[in-house]
Amino acid sequence: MSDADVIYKTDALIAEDIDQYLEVHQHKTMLRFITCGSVDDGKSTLIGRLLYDSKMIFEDQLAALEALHHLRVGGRRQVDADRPPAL
Amino acid sequence: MIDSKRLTHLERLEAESIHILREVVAEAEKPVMLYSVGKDSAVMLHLARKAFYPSPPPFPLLHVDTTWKFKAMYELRDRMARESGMELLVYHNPEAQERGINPFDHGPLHTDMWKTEGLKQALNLYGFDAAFGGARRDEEKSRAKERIFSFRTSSHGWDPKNQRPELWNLYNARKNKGESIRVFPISNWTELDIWQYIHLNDVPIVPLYFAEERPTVERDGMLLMVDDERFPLKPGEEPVMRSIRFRTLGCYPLTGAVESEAKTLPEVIQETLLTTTSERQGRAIDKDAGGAGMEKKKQEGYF
Repeated sequence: MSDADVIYKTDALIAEDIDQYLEVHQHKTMLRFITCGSVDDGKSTLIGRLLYDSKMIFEDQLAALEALHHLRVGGRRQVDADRPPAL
Repeated sequence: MIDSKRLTHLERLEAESIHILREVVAEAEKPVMLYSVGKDSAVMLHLARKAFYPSPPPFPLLHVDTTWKFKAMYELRDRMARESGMELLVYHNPEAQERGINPFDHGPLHTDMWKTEGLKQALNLYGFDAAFGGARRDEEKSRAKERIFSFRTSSHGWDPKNQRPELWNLYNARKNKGESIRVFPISNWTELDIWQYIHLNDVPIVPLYFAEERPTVERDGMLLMVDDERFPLKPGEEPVMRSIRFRTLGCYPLTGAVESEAKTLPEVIQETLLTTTSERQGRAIDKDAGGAGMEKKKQEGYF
């Protein structure tokens, strides 16, 4: 499986040294952001895409989303933070 | 570089939650904490104790029981009530009790009657006008869009399209007579935040979160634990001992276990972080009504 196919990706340190990972994680800084726009401008779609690209969407969530999408329109995959399967 | 004067994200979350807890106590007439004995409830209770220390929190704990929780949950529930010095109210829907409603024979009716109806009955009986719940946004889609102060009609209904604006840390607790609010102090926490907080603060949790050899059977792709003699085994079916643990805890016949060797908290966190599926995957309740299960339940008054 190439990296592009990975849906949910975890930090290598988690598997190697969980105590160290927790220590590092505890002191991570936080990025706070908002999306602004009118109705249907793509605010949630953008957040969904950021989650998808940063491999933060669980496999069962994406599977549920894909099933729903095929049911509604069929075809192209789209992640929307307003309509995720279980976010 | 880490500036020790600035709060870590976990400390910010803790401060936010404590602020919410105190705000409700200042604004509500008769608050209560819904205590379900899971890890989220454990953190919420810990935060409440911290918010009002050295006094015990000025509200009771309410457990809307289904009689089908794991034995280990009842043990921790009673222990935490003793240790916190808080009053523990346990409510059983009398109609569900009389009809012997159970998850094996009655399907969705089990949750509707014991939990949704039971909660409404209990809130009405005691006249609570604000109820803390340990729900988190990252758990489930309908919870993601729900406000921290979630308003309910006098019949406990929730209207997702009629929610109040909630700006920064300004919470509007005003309500009409008969209306109530559900308040979610740990709404903004993630599953990892909860685990890390439990780890750093030694918050007591039910041992079922840690792997151990337990009697199990497999049903519809879910590993269920045979927690007592009420579990109806099929002819010839024998419980198999497997090393399992739980990511979430509910009624034992409805909660799927995962096979695991994680016996310590860091090991559990490690496994949790390495899994590629969401925490509620093992919960039957979310799959009712074609994926809209939780939103529908919340509109009907589920917490």
